[in-house]
Amino acid sequence: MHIPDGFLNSNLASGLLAGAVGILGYCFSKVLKAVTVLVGVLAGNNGQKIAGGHLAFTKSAKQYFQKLAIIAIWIFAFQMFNIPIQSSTSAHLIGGVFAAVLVGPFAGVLVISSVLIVQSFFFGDGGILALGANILNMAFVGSFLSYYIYKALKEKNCYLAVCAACFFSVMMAALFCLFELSMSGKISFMGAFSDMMRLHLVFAVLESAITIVLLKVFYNIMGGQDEENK
Amino acid sequence: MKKINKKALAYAFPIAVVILASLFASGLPDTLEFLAAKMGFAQSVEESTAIFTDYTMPFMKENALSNICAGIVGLILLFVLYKIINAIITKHSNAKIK
Repeated sequence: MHIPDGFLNSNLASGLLAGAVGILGYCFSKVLKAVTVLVGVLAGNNGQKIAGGHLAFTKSAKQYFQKLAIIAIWIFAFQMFNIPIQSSTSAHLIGGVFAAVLVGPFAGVLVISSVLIVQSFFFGDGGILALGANILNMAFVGSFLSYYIYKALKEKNCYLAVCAACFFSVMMAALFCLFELSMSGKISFMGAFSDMMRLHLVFAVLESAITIVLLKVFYNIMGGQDEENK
Repeated sequence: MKKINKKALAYAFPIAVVILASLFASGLPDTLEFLAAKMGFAQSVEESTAIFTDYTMPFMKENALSNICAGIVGLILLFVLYKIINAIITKHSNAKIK
């Protein structure tokens, strides 16, 4: 799913990179807002009025960033694990739903993007110019948008919600990828549509199964399922 | 399970996954590479100049050990990245508001 450099038209790739920077900035500000509190400073000796205040991290902020780091390294490790899905191709976890379910859509985008940035700069897995497209496909579509599918369905059935979100995540990420490649003149959208969707259908089943197992393991090790279900 | 053990387990688990991935992961092309080869645009890929290209260590033969080392370097890089972000934010979070 990682698009390398050379597959996309450079104008499209640059535009998507600029868009991804905007998305990351917005998500980062939302995450910061979630872990920051305004601490009031009392005025004078009467202790009645608030003279001002300063921004400070909540007590749980440090643990929150540790959690993001742990989720990121889990996803990085699982993205190294390619599983054959047919006789001639393989796939690995995207992890967008896993991240979003654990830390919400905004932090989910940041976690997946951090993995993609390290992969593209240090491991050549996905291009640097194509990073914007990869962030859009796997972090924004694969994590942010998919989270709302999970949110809409989780009251009915948690497993169904995860499966539906994973299905949406993989199929929509593949569709966006197809759209970008066809806009770059590499393929005909209609010509490659059935191949792309057929391959990713199997991939979606795999993503659902791995995500459910990973969530179970994560909750067993780190706890927090009760909070998530509230 | 004690808290420290939980944390150690949370960091040990991805290391185990990296080791297993290096030994047993499929070498088949991923879905996009497969499609690129089938549709005839695979040759347009630009060669990567990244230091750990294909999850291998530079100056090491391409084998499982090289993959394991590169994978663990990746985990460390991500860990350090989050440590840096945490440190920067902590440093700048004391701005006074009037």
